Amino acid sequence: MLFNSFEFLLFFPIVCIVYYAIPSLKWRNMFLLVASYYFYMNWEPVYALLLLASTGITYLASIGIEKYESRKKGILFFSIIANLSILFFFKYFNWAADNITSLMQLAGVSIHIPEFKVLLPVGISFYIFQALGYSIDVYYKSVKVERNFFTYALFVSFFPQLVAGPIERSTNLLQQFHEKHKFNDEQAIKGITMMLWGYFLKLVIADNLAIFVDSIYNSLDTQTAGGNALVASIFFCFQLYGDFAGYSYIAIGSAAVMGYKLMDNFLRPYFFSVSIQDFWKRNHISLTTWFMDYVYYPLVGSSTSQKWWCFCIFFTFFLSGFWHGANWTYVVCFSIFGIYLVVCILKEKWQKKFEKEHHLKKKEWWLWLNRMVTFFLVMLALIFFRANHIGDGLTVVKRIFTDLSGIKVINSHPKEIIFLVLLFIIEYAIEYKKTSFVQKHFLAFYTVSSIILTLIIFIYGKFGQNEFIYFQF
Amino acid sequence: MRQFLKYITIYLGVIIVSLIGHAVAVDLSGWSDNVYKRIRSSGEKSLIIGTSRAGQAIRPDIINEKLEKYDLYLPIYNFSFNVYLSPYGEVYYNAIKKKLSKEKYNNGLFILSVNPYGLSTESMLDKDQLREKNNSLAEIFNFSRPNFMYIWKNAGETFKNDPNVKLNDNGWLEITIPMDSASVEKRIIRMKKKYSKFCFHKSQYRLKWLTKTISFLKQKGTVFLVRIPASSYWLEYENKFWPEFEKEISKIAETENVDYISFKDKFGHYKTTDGHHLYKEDGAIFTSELCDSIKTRLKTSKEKAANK
Repeated sequence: MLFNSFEFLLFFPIVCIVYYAIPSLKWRNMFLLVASYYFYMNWEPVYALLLLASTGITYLASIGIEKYESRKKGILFFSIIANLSILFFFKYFNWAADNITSLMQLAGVSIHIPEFKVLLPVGISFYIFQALGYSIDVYYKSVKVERNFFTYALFVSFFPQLVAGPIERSTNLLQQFHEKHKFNDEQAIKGITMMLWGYFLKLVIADNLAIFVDSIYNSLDTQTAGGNALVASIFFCFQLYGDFAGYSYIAIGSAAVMGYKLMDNFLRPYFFSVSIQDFWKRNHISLTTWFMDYVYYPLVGSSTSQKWWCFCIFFTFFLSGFWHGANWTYVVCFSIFGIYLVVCILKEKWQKKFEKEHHLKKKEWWLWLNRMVTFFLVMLALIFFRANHIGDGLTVVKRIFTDLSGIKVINSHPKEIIFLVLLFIIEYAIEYKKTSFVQKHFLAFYTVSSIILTLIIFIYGKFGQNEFIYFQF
Repeated sequence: MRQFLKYITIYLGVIIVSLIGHAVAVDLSGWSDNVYKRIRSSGEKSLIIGTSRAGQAIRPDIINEKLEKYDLYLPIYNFSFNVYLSPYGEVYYNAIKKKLSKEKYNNGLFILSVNPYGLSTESMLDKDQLREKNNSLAEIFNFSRPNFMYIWKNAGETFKNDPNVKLNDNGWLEITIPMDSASVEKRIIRMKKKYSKFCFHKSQYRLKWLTKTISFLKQKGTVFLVRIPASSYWLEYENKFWPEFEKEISKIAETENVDYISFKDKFGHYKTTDGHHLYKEDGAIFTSELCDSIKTRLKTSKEKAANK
């Protein structure tokens, strides 16, 4: 069931009404668990077994970790291997087989690895990482073991964030299932408005930009001018943002209506990041922090070697490229980000000194210059995220740097420009906290905002039921 | 709870009133894209059926005039859309049923345009992957006026008006665009590029539904299959991916005991806007010639019936 489907618009209010009508916490959680599995099984019912398997493995492993202190490392290792094996088989096996076959052929050896015709289970990368995060938290005693299987299963399968995040931490979400949430007017109103904002980002921004982006990236040929490639690459940044942040806002908003607080996943990364480090503190926060907490920091340990930090950060982002999908383009994209971050580490001292000497830190023009440079660097990396293969990505980069003909942005894409300007204005107001009037006129603001967003979505939204980009992960 | 109820009441109230008001205003203003006017009414008794070639080439007003004296339920309505919305299949079949009057009659006139695209799928897909599966005709439950569902799904389009395109009340799609050779050539190149991306395959599914459509419509009147001409290039293109097209359609016509009027020999004879679609003036000429063919066949049928 897609968030941007008629079925979800029916499903969600019914779930909320029934949820609040149930007086007992235990039965509320059971109901939410059933609703979450129903939500997931709307795609491919049999894949709910995988969700259940991952849940079961990590549940039992966590109990084992707590009970058998001396063997906890081995149990954690088993939990990680078992879950990553499920992920590998369904997401990477065929791709790995193709690559091995190609490599062996290059070496003059002919082998045949059978292909498995399996559909990629929606959300597998998200819920497996969420479940693994819990096991690791139990290992490090950051969280108490959840003994109630149904409560734990709800944590893994909670429908607002099940298929495309945010990847929640047990320290945040799991404990919320032990509290009975009373209906809160303000939270519900904010939640619905946030959902509408998410629909705006997805249906108006992302799906409108996708038309031009797809027309360029899906037919790159000698006719594609560099100007068009540049515009498409810029648009793609916002398409990706609109799509993914849109989903996150719908997830966070729908959870808020039911009284749950999910973590922020996006904090205006494209317009306001002053560096690549800042970008990754604002963009897909749940995944970045997952990799930082469970890969980077354990790798770095107590080392003070800058070289080691550089290696670790590059390796962490290199790995996160694989998380995104079975395609070398994602690995290249995130390796580029890894390189950017290595450069950031290396130039950090020098930059701080430079900014201090010239009193640049709080100067607006300096901030905006950094934001533009950061955006450009991000855009270059994301070319490979969108490209169908590495060759296409290189073609786009080459055209951008060698031929900027063909740019007719405002004439050719007036609607898209207006949407992006509107997005900028709203994010600017939030970033610079020009929102004091919101609390003063709470009901009026949220009512008018909801109405305006809904009407814009109706007029300009694309209702072809386009899937969210991150569903393929 | 009070604050939330206030919020949701005002929100839903404004939205519902806006949407209904917008839909009514759009309908009353006479707005239509290529689809809307055709799906906001039903109760027709005679139809022109097919894809965009039929939608633009066959003029209902000329048919009504030329076949007035025959015992046919006129006026006829052009219920042809395009190759995405109305290839032959279950979706189009159901839409035709919704469009027709529920009364019992048997002197309707049904002109079914046949061309390879309307009887193909784009690749070797099974019927679950058919291009019309999620389109307007599949999703709209009834042909009411205003058609709220259609207007709400296409709300953004209702603020646009293409001066070159007019969907007449009789369903004929009238295109008025520059017909100088440079403009036509540009459109021809665009059309060829568009079709070069497709890989059409003859579809047994669509042929089956063509037969079902014929069988259903035969109960309500006289059915003619018509192959509308285009430019010579398209005949070559169509012959390439479906060389036996004429033979197979003739066989279906014979089996179903209906007439097949093929204008295959007239490809390249009329002016087209883009190689594919007849220009409106040539559509008038073509429709007139079609009517002459229909008259001949009606006369022959009458004589045969009389001799029996």
